[in-house]
Amino acid sequence: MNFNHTEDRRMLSDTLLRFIADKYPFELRNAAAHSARGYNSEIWSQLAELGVIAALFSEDDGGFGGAGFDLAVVFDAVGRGLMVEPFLDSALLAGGTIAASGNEAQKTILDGIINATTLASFAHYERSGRYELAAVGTTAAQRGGGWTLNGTKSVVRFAEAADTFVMSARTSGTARDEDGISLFLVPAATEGLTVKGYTTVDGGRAAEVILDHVDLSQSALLGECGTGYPVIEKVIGRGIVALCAEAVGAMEVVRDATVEYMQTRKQFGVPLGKFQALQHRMAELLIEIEMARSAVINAAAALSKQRLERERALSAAKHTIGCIGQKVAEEVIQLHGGMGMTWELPLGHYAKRLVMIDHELGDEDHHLSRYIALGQTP
Amino acid sequence: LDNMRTTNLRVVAAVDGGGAPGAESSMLKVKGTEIRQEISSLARRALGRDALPYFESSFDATETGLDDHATLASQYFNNRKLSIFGGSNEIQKNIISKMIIGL
Repeated sequence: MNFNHTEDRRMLSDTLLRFIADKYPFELRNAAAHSARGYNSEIWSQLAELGVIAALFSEDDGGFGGAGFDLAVVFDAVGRGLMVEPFLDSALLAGGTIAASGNEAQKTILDGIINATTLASFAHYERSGRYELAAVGTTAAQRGGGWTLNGTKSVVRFAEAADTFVMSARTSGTARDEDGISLFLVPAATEGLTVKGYTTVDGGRAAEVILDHVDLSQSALLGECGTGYPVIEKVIGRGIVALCAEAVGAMEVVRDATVEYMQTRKQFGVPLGKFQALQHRMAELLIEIEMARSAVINAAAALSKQRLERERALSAAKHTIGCIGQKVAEEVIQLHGGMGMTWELPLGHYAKRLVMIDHELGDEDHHLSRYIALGQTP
Repeated sequence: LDNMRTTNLRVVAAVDGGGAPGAESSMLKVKGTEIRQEISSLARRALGRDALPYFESSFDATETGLDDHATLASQYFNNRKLSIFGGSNEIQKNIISKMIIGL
């Protein structure tokens, strides 16, 4: 079996990693995370020029990649650089939804997303929805020649800076029905939208997006009315591959930082790495991180499979990354002692992101239950 | 938690009789901090995606209606210090081993 990336993907990875090394120092990352937009728009434009955003889309949609392993390569680098730019929300989730369900006219927005002139935000999650994809309470009622939306979308990343939202709303059915969910393109300037923003604990901006009689034209509907669920599931599946790859990229950075710390930091007159208890713990981390990398490979490969096999592999991977991500985050902080608690050390910020990845697109418990449920014969 | 409470009381009772705590106080530190951290972790995980917003205090969260559990994620991260300060849990385990295994 060949576990090497293609030449193209290796070049993509090299380009992105070199960009991070040359243009994305940690201070810039932190400044971007705490800025009003929650990311650095100049950097996002430069990334677009490198073709990195296009790598997340298929040729049919205006990109040159879009396969599972293209996602894995890009997001591995995102994790290594601890990047806060909207790879996931604007490109993969919002852009991916438009690519999967939009008509020709609506798909023209993809050009803007790919060349970083348009920022789209994916607004699907609602408070206390836990991680159930069908938990949509925001309603869309037919009104004359268009739609009226009411409801609240929660923890919407990049909402304040977004030019447009890709939003789910219920056109029929009850609160957790899979049927009856529709997808809409909602321009940020639409009347009736209120955005209440805040910083997120892992860096970046998000907001509560409140819809009070938001009127949309008929052309705002993406795809067919009431059939949004399968699109959402597929797009979030791609998001899961992305997050898993991002997590493993971050894990490898903190692993290498901790190995170096073990080799250089001295206590009781010797490097910490001389203590067998710590050596064993380091060895355990190394084992778990290799398992996590395998989970990413499985997930990336699964995107091209049939639904049941694909979704089981995705849930398996997200569960794995959730468990291992938290363990790695806690261990590397502990092994760094007091230094691990400081703001100045990048390590703590990586650890925060690793833990919070488990709060996106389903945590370890949700995906374990889902894995089990998907494995049961109907 | 119940086991922890009783262990605490046993150590206090032993000292009350005029003795000095030995490895027992190190045991309390290790187990107590681990339990406290686990509780923090559970509270954070229970919020799901709602754990992501960051606010300096619950008061800052009232505008967005998220005040009832605003700071649980940051509390979890802050509590990572419990196993590090006051003599790290690794040092505590050294103390316990030395006093009991004595090698």
